[in-house]
Amino acid sequence: MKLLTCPMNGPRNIDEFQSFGPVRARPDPNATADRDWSRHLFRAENRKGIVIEWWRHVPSNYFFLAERDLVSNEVIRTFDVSELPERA
Amino acid sequence: MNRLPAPFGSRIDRSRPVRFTFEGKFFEGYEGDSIASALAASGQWVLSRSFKYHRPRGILSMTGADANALVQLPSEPNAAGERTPISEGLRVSAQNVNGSLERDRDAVMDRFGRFLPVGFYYRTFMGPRRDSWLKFWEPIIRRKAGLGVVDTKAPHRHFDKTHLHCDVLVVGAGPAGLSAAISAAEAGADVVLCDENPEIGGALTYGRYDPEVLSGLASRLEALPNLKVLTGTVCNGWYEDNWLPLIESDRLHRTRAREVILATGAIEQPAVFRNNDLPGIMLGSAAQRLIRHYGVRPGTSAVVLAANDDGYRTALDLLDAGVSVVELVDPRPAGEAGPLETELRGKGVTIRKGATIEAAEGTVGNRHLARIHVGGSWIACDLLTVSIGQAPAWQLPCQAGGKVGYDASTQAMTITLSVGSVHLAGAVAGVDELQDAIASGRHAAATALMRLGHAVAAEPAVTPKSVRPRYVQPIVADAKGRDFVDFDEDLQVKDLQNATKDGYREIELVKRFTTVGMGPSQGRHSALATARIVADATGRSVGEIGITTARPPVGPETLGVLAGHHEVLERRTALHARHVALKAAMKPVGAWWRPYYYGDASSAEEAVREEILAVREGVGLLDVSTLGKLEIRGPDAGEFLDRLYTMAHANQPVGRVRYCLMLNEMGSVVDDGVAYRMAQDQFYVTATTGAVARVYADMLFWNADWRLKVDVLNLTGAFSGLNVTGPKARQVLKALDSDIDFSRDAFPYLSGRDGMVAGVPVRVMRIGFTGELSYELHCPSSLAPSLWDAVMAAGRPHGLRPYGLEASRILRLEKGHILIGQDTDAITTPDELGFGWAVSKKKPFFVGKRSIEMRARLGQTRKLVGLQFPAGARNIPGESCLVLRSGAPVGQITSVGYSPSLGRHIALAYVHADDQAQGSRVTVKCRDGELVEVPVVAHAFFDPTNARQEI
Amino acid sequence: MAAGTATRVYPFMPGGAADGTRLISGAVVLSDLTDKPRFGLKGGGSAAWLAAQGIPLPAVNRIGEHRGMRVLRLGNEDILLLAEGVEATLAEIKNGWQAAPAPKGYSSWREEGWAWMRLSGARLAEAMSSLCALDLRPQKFGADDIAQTRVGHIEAVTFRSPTGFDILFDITASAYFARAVAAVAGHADQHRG
Repeated sequence: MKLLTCPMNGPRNIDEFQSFGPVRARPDPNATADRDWSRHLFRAENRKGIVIEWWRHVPSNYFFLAERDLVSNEVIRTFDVSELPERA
Repeated sequence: MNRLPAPFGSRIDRSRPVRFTFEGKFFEGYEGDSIASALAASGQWVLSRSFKYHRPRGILSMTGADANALVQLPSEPNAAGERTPISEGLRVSAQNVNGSLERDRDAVMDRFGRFLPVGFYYRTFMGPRRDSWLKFWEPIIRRKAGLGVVDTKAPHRHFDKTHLHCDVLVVGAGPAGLSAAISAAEAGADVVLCDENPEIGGALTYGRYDPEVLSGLASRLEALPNLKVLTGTVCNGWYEDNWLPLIESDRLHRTRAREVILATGAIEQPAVFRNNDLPGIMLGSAAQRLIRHYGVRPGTSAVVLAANDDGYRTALDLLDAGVSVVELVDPRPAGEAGPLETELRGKGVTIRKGATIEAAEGTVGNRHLARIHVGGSWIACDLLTVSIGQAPAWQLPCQAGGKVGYDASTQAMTITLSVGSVHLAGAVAGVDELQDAIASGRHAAATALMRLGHAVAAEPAVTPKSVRPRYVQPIVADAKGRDFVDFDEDLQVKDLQNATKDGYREIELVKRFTTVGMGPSQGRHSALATARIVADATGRSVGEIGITTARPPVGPETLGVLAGHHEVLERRTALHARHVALKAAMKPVGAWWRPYYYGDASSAEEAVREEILAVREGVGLLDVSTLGKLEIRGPDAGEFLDRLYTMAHANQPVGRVRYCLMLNEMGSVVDDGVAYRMAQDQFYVTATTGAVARVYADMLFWNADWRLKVDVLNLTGAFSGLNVTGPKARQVLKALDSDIDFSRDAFPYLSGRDGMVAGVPVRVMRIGFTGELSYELHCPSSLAPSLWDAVMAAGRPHGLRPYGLEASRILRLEKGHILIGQDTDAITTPDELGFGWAVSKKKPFFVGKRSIEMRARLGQTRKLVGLQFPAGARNIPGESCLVLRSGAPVGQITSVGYSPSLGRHIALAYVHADDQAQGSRVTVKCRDGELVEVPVVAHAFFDPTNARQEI
Repeated sequence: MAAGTATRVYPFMPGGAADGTRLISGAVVLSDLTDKPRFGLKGGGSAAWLAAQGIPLPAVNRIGEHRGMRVLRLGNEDILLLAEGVEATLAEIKNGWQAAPAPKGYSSWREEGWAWMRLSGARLAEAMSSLCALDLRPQKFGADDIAQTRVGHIEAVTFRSPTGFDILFDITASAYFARAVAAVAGHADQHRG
């Protein structure tokens, strides 16, 4: 089983975590065309490369972010929400 | 008897005889014997019949890897006879036998073999009809294949799961593994060493080695308290981040190791020639294991096929065991005689060089080896040991990312692992001399220790003193066949060659077409030969062909090891014992146990009706503790709820309760509940029982994303809820000692109050699911039984009756109240429910707002409406029955039930948007296919003006 | 009935939700501390208020001590006080908090939402290895460490106590948890070698 290092609780089996998907740009809902809003809702990019993802450590209910390589499945780093660069 | 005197037989205790049966006949062995060794000691060499041709098969490797030696135990099929110990009275039978092992009616298959070409199944069983495979062929094949029989009445066994942590896990306790484990432990690391055999030592326990080597390693090992040895333990897989299952009989150690050293050894390979599967032909190491582990003489008159030193050592061992060695055949060309050869010649053994075994022949029915053909002439013998080469045990290393290659200079299969936390040592790393293996163990340990941060001297990588190319047997198909490559699957050389001729040139395709490597041995004895055959046939190198992907498990595992724990998660409300005392019929709802109704099963319907009546005419009490209860606290609490729910909460006055409806980003309804504003910075919010875990998680997620000044607390277990409902509810509450004014004016509908009731601090909300005057009392769970008792006592004069889930379901249906998840699905919008009133038009944002606006523009296609069946209607559709319009489905029934208040069946259903008006008639298809017409009525079947709840 | 005098009923008491479920004893002992006093604060202002009362706050997932109470830091703004045998001290702090003006954090209601149980006995380590995937050996998990993890397949908080491990978990799962521990203890007995 894969290990994931929670910034608050340390390395844990990945079954202690719940994934909340990649951090995505949130388009302004009032200034986005229907077509683009649909894309935002239903289209996942899933490009090769590195993504930043939301994770929840379930027993402590702590949410944090992980940088993961989608090709190698390597988790490059995990960090607290406060370190998240402002999104576009 | 083939039993040898001590010191042969390290695993057996001659003072403890054990009696057992095989195929109904009595046999005797010793404590410590395996089934195969005990049978061999008594001269029973045939253990099974082969998969396809029903040829007699016996001991091949003594490792338990092959189908050859799988046997049936009373409650365990496919037991490895070579490894499974005998026990007093054990009843063992042969597998894959039609009739008896001795007289197998399907032995005739051997003669019809040419009608069963490779790929036969794929070609033949496609017809004649579409379902022929399932109805006709599959049952026949299953019977013919005669694999083990599962005993569905086997006694219950406990399988235990535990966790193990270590700095270094060493798999394999042969010389390399022992050396690695000792080096790592001597440096202070926490080490676990596991081996599938009952003792440590690996090849040192059965090979021709100086006993001092093993005893020296064993005494160092015993002095190390930080070295945990698990013998009889199979490491059955490698998973990400060094997570490995170690299976110690019925106990599974889920092991997390920081570093892993794989010293899994090498697998001795059989030779390919006609009739190479006869009982009496075995690997050299199998003969050695029989002699040293079990004190069993593997034959009386032997020919030894030896293309390496191990073969020469086997010949010497056979002589020691009193076996007459007729001849040693060495396929390598004559060269300088080594010391082993000289020793053998000194003992009078004939050595023939540059020759090989061309074929073998068996006794009647091929029950045992009778003679072999070498250099054009036949030699009589009852034992042929084969030592022509090895393949590294690639399974675990390949699962850990190792790549199989082929070293053309030494003609050896190799495994390379990229730099990381998994290391190889010993024969699996291509080392074959004993001292090299020990040194490679030290090297692997030093590498692991350095990665762990131990200050250790670097150990040089092992450079074998002499690099000699391995012998490679040329594999040529015998004209008459029966030259087996894969014993499990009865595959011969030409089968594999034919597969390549059919165009299956890649190893993974060859495997799927021929089934090579799919049997119990998983290619242990066939993968290398297969790769060579395919390489030859396609003009490529063995390295280019490779072997098929190795996946866990390494070996078979008992389902019990994989099974989950037996205790099922169960949640109980604080009032559980109160319900049980009142004879509630408790039913599981998810993990929760809830009262379904109160009373005997025999009068269930009556009980439900009376409970409904009590609520409609008097007063009822429902345990609503399973409701999700969330507290939203902080300066931004109102803003937070405004963003999450469709109604306005930031402007909600303190002391008021509001309905809340939650959408997902797609605009679909995902939950509902109420929010009671207890203070400017504090809301008490309910969520549905089934959705609260997700709602809570989603709230935490949005809170992390939005970073508002809010704390979300899940009080689902901490607080309990009691719903007092019915026209007499106020009288009951007024009879209780309380500082809350329950009068209509002081405590109006949709408001909330904090206070004390019967000495219990409570949060009371005037809301209700039943449509009657209702107060929902929430309190800390430890006080819920006291509150329940007080309400029950106060309610007694008013006929208060506790009611269960079934009555609650009907009561809410009579009011047309929806249940999220039952009356909604993944695409339900508020408009489809007629919940436009619950959606704020003023708020600039809430989750799902953009999407419902967009979906509204797409046009509404369906609507949830009430359907009312005529009194006495004969055919009532069930939930999920389709609503049809011009024959096409447009919706479905979501809830249905009999309303005692109305005396007829009522339902909620999605109908076409054009049929939503009251009085429209819709067509519903009943379970039996009958179409019934039902009129659409108002959502609230009972008390449509909702007057009763506001009295 | 006077305000505040109602009887409290916890799961393993007569009339409690887990009444009738056996708490295992022997080589593995499970004891119930759910009725023992504790008080927690959570949400903005919690840490500052407690610190202002002179309570030293440990780092997250560490345990501190204050006047005989154990101070568990479960998050930046999530602190739990356990008062075994020092009820009066806890009551003093709790009363002070109730009377204090905001900001002071919010009650976390752990005394109601979490069962508090203690696992001990001769085969404690073995039982804990079966119940929990974490490495809880003394050299890896100290006396002041807190693990927020899973024990017996449910979310739990665990830490050492002088005689074993204390475990906090969803109070509604009390009967389940006692059964899960008993099942594991049964295995531990079987494998006694």
